[in-house]
Amino acid sequence: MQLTVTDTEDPQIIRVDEGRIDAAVAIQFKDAVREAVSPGTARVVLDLGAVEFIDSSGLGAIVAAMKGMGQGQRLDLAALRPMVDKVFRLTRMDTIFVIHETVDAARDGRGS
Amino acid sequence: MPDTFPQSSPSLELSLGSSPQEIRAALDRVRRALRDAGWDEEARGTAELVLAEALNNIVEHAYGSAGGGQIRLSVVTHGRTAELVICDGGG
Repeated sequence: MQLTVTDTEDPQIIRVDEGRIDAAVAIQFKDAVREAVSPGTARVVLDLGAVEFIDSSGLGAIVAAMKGMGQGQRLDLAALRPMVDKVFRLTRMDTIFVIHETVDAARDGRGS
Repeated sequence: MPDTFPQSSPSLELSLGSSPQEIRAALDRVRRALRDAGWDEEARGTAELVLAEALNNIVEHAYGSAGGGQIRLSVVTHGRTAELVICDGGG
């Protein structure tokens, strides 16, 4: 599971360097995000621009990572590809997360 | 009534073990088969998601921690429709 922190603070931006977040990697993904999140940052943005496919296991892992964050911390999502965006809309998870169209928009704090 | 469907073709038939890694490989083959059948990216993504969820359920619930189970999968496309058949021997 490859994650890269491309921006260290306010917001911290974590890029997911994987094409798929599925049952094969869901647990590693959740653990890796938890480890990457900086405890001192109020807002963390997950850059999903490289992710082409997500299933319900992957969705559960993102929700678990969000729930594992500290009080006063928020997890936003950015740069969702069409298939990933569709899964978030189908499951109404787009009402739980702030989803930004691009990483730049996320950096400015703008929702989609 | 296969005669009522245009461009009917047996796209893919395969057997896989009940592990997330084998599901990944099987989905990759399904994606390629649907692309060869002329399906666009959005339709391929939808079919892949439906299959992934059903196959994950087999791994998790039908075979569970026992593992080692076999799954048979067939995909037949009829133009813009696909018939997806999954068989498992789980409890």
